Amino acid sequence: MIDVNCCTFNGKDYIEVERIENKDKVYAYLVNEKDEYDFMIRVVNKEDDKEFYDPLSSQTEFEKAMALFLKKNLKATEDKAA
Amino acid sequence: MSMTDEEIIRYLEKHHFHDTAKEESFDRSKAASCINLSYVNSRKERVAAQRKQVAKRVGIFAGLALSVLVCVNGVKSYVSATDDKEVAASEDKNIFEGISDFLSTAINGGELNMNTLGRKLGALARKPNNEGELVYMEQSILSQCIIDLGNGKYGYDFDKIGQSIARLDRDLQDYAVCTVLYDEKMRGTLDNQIYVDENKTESNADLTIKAVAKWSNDEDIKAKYNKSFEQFLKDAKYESFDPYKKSQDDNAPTIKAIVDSLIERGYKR
Repeated sequence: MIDVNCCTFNGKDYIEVERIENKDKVYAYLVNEKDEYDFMIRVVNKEDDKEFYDPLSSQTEFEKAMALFLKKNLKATEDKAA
Repeated sequence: MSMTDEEIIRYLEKHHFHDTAKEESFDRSKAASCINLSYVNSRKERVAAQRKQVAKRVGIFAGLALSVLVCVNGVKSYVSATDDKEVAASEDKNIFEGISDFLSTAINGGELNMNTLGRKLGALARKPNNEGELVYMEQSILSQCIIDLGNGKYGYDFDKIGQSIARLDRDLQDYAVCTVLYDEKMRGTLDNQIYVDENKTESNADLTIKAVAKWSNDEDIKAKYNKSFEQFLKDAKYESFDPYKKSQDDNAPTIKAIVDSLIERGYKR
């Protein structure tokens, strides 16, 4: 067991399984603890000492964040298999 | 252009996602609802991150995300997009065409879970424009999907159709109700509604919107739809409803006028 970020949306707990920095933004990839098919992507913003998960601004940003995630994990998987 | 199941599995295997490709939970329709859900989720309120002791499940999520992307669009375009300095994945609108493809497959195959239909239709009905804003697809596509449902496993089961509409995003429900009734076989006009009982007390249109009210969890929605179709149109300020704009009343609004009216009230197209 390890420490990860966790938050509650609509009564459901989501854990942060990935975080990717891209230019001036940090994207967090969250998955429902009880249903891995229920996931979301958020922008991480810091205010004072607290971190907040903020909504993405558009579908475009969502797809961009998905692409970043895919690129990172696809490469990691290929490296591991090589 | 969407990929076939075989192409998806070959691609997953090529990239060493063997388990993802073969596991029972890998199915295209599930992936489709996922990608829609995830963006819908992303639009909700901000939440403070907290730390908690849980097992990390990157592997599962990675496999899932890959499945989703592969399913809806083909992974190559995304990979090549991320190789550019500016990620341009948004340019590829085939993502929604892919959803449409396997939505129709799911409907025709009779495998559709009614609880997820609303999400799928929501995904189908919206797509990003060049500015990345969500816009509605042509009404005919959404209409066809709903009618396909009626023509398939469930026949003209207004309760089921109302249930599927109840699962739609709130801002799509009027649109879907009007679209369902636009179909030639199901249309219900104020002057010529298709009544389903001998006493002519309830029409197909009445049953459809009452089913929306029945299956909705939202009290506002229940109040909005738990009435006759005629009353619904009056309350919604649609004084009459004639999807085909018949010659007997040239001033009757068409379905297009109704949809345009919805758009004027704040919906994008």
